[in-house]
Amino acid sequence: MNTVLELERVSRTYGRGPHPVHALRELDARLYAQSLTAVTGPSGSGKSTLLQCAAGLDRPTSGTVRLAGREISAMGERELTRLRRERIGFVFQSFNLLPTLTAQENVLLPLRLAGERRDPARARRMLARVGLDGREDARPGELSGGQQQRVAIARALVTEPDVVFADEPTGSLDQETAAGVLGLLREAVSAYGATVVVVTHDPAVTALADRVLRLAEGRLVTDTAEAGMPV
Amino acid sequence: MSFLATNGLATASVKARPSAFAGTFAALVFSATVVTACVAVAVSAAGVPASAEQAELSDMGVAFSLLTVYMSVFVIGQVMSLAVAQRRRESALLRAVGAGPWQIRRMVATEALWTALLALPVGYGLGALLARVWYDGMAGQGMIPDGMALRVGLPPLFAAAGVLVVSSQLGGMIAAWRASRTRPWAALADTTVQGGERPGRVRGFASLVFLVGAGALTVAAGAGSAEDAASEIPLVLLAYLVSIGLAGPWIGRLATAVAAPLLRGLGGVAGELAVAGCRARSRRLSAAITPIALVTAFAVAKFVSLTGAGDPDWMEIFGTLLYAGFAGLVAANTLVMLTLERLREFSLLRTVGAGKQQVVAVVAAEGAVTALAGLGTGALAACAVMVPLGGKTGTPIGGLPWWAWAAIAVCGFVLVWGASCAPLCRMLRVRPIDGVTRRSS
Repeated sequence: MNTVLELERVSRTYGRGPHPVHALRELDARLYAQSLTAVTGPSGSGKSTLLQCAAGLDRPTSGTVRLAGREISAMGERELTRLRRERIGFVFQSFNLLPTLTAQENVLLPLRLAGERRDPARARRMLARVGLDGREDARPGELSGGQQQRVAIARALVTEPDVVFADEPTGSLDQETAAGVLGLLREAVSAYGATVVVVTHDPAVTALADRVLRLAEGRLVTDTAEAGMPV
Repeated sequence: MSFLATNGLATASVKARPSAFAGTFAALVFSATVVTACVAVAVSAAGVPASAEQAELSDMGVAFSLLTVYMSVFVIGQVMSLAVAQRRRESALLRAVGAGPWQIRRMVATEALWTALLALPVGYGLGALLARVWYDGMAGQGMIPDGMALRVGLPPLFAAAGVLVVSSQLGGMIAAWRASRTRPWAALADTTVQGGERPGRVRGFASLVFLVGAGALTVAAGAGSAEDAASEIPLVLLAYLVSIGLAGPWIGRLATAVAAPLLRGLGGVAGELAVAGCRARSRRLSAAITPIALVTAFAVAKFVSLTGAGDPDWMEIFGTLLYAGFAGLVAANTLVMLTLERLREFSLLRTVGAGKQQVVAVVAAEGAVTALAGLGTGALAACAVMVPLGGKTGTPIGGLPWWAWAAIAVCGFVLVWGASCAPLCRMLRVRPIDGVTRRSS
C-alpha cells in the first residue's frame, strides 16, 4: 500500500501565554492511496485542525506533514498555493462555490487558475460523473444543497489530485441527499482511484469508510487499521 | 422599553459588520467637516460691513456651502444604502427569527442617528481647523475685508447637524425599506450573490425623471442670465448624478459588456472572474460607479470654468480642492467598503488555488470596469451641462486642453485601483480557511 499522506509528531497550538490551546498533540498517522478515511471525534478534538494541517491550509507548530513524498509543512505560501491548485481537492460543508460563476465555471476554476485553457468538455464529463449533466450553466443559487455539494466534488476531482479533503461534506444535507453525496465520494475511491479524507460527525460516513481515525483532545484514540480491522 | 430593545438590535447589527459602520461613519465625518468649513467662512463673511470684497466673499461662501450640503445629502444617502445592503444577511436573520419590517427600519434609523451624533463633533472639530487654514490662506492673499474675523461658532454646527441627521435618516429609510422587504431565506442562503438583486422598475423610472429634470434645468439655466447659469451649473450636475446613481446597475452592465471582450482577451482567468463578478453584482457596481462619476463630473465642470476665469483666487482654489477632496474621499471610502465585504469570496478562491496576485488581478480588472463606467458617465454628465451652458458663461468646454482630460482619467484610475486594492493587504493575510468560514468582515 502506498502512503500518500504522512503526519509525523504533528502538534498545533493556538495562542500563547498562560492558556494555549493544544489542538493537536504529537499526532502520528499515515494514510494510504485509494482509500476513504474518516476522521471523527467530538467537537474540539482537533479533527478540523488535522485536516487543515494535512491539506497545507495551516502550518503545524511542530512536526512534519508529507504529501506524496514532499514535505508540505516546510513549504512557503507560493508553493502551498500551487499545491492546493494541483495536488489537493477540497469540499467544505457550505460556501464551496463562487456564486457568480456557473457550475461549469466553478468546476474548471482550479484548472483555469493554473493557466490551462478552458475545456468545457472536461467540465461536462466531470458534472456527468456526479449526476449533473445538463446543469452546466446553472449558478449555485439555482441548485439545491445536494447539487451544490456534487459540483464541489466535481471541482475537487477535476485536477485528479493526490488527496481530496472534505470537511463535514454532508453536514447540512438531509439523510437521503447525504447518502447520494457520500456514494459519490465512495465511488471516487473505488472507480477512479482517488484518495479521500473526510472529517465528519456523521455515522453514515464512518460506516462507509475504509478506515476510521477517532480523535480526542488532539490525540489519536482509535485507528481501525491498527486494531486489525479490514483496511 | 421598546426603544431600548431596538437599540440592542442596532448595536448587535453594528458589531456584526464593523466595516459597514466605519464606512458610514467616515462619510458622515467628511460631510460634517466640509459643511462646517464652508458655513463658517460664509457666516464670518456675512457679518462684516458691506463692500465689494465682502459681497464677493459672502456669495462664494454661500455657493460653496449650498454645494457641499447638496453633495453631502447625496453621498450620505448612497453610503447609508450601501451599508444597509451589506448587512442584508443580518437583517434577514432578524426577519427569520421574527423581527417585523418596522423593527428593521427602527434599527436602521436608530443606528443612523447614533452614527450621525458620533460623527458630528469629530467633523465639526476638523471643519473648524479647515476653516482656519482657508481663512489664513485668504488673509495671506490680502482678500479679507476690513474687520472680518473667522468665527466658527454655532451656525456651522447646526448646519452640519441638520445635514447629517436629515440625510442619514432619509438614506437609511430608503435602504431599510428595501432591507425590510427581503425574503429571509433567500438572503440567508450562501449562494445568493450579494448585491445581485435585479433593479426594479421604480428605480428605472426615477432615473428617467431625474434625467428629464436635469435636461429641463439646463434649458431653463440657458434662458436666464450668464451669472445665474454659472451658479446653477452645480445643481444641474447633481441632478444628472442622481439620475446616474439610480441608473447605476444598468450602466454597470453596459460597461461590463463593453469591457468584457478586452478583459477576457487580456486578463486571462482574472479577467473572466472579473466579468462574471461585475455581471452578477450590478447593484454593488453601481455603488462604486456613482461616487467616481461624482468626482469626475465636478472636476471636469470646475476645470472648464477655470479656463475662462483668468487667475483664480485662493478662495476659489481652496473651495474646489475642498469638494474635489471630499468627493474623492467618499469614493475611496465606498470602494474600500466594497472590497472589505468580499473576504469569503477571496478566501474561497485562494483555497481552490488562486495565488495572491491572482486575487489582486481580479480586483484590478473589476476596478477597470468601475473606473471606465464612472469616468465615462461623469464626463458625459459634465458635457451635458457644459456644452449648452459653457459658452454662455464664457467658458466653452472645448477650451479644456486634452491633457486635462487625460489627467482626470489617470487620477480616476489611480483612485479606483488604489482604494479597491488597499484593504487587500490585510485581507490576504487572513488564512484562507478562516476567511471561508468567517461570516463577515
